[in-house]
Amino acid sequence: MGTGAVASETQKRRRNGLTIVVVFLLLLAVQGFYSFRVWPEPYPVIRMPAFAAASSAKGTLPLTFVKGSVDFADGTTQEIDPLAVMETMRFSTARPTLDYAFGPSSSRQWSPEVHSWLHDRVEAVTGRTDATEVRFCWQKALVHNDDARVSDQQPCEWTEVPL
Amino acid sequence: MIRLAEDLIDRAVDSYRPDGRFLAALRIAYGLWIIFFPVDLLWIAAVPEDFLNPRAGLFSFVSSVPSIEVLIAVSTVRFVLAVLLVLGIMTVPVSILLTATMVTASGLSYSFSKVDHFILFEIVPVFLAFAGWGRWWSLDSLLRRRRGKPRLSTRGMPVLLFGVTIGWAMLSAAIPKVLGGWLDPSRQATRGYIARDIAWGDKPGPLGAWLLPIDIDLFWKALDYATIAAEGLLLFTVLTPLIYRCWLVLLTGFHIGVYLTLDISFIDYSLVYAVFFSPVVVWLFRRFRPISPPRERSPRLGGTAA
Repeated sequence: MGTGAVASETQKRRRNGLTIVVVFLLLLAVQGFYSFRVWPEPYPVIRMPAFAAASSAKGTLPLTFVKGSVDFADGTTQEIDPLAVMETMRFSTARPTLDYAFGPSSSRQWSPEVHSWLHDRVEAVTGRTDATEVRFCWQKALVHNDDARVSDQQPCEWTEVPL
Repeated sequence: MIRLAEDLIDRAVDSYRPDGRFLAALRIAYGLWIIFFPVDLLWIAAVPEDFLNPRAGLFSFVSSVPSIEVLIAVSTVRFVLAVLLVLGIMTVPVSILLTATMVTASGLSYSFSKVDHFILFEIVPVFLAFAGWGRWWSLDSLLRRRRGKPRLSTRGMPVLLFGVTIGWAMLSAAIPKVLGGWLDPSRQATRGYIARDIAWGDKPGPLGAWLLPIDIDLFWKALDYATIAAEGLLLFTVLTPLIYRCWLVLLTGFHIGVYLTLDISFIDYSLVYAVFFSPVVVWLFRRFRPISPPRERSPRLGGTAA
């Protein structure tokens, strides 16, 4: 192969390289635009977790806390950890699913399958078979950056699930 | 300008071209990782239908909870593909199928209100298959040799494109932070997330509770700014491989910091970043391997030559 042919081949390779990178970046930008425009967050897209919201200038972060309690047939009540109820799910999915299924904005229309599942889970967590109702208290509050103390707790928004 | 861009890309492709044996070792390590640390899918079958809340995109069609048989089938296919990958059989199609299977598994798992962000780990096989991770220490290379064909060299372009992808992914995390107030000197972000985990009763990282009382604004804002810089600037270093590698080291430090404060592990990402450190590993290998008499020397570590 002559010197001219080699030079031409090199030039072609360099131009191809530039084209590939530019096209690839455009594709990433298009899917990135899509991923930020669509809600809920789509999958699969090339994206990393945001952790977007910074605390306020007063050093507080608004959060929603959830507590659970169970009523039993004998009239007694026991507090339970809602996340313990959900722990058969993947670790990162438990809280989002709790919000979706039993949160203040959930449909509150549960199928017999959910009642049965919840009954089994309550039995697994409490060790008792006579649970009659699970209640979830959803409470907005502020968390302070300096010591993680909680203030400005709002009244509970209740979700009551008969079993 | 175009010539400068062509020059930079050409040099980057050269610099990112990995050593064939290092790449093969990475292939085997990746396959073994999938075999020994598979992501569990079987929990999905026990979840009530009402909990299904698929994400937008490719898996928005999921309208019912997959049966246990389907989940076992997906897990089995993933296992078999990982074994084939370790052995280096039909490496390119197997790698593509492995990524497709892992994305499918994640798509099913994320159909319950939450996307976890392991996509960079899942797409490793596609990029590194085209970089040539099946060209050494594989049945593919053995068959090729038996047919009398020369060994193919590895490629730098897929590694460059993977570098661009990682840079883009990190930028996608930095932009929402900037919009969410992380750059505001009067607002602390990192500290707020540690406080959140403690208040929620989640287990913070090993140093989370110890760091929280440090009441030095400059310290916390430096962490916020360092996070934005580590994530947001990586993409812009991709055409200067040395700086990109240094930035990945910085990012690894950031991941370790996230683990220590928030208990979020990025251990899988060692297999995502490893390919970029091929020249460093080869240099270390050459520098520290025992010197033996010439006739006993093992073949030259290279693997990029045809």
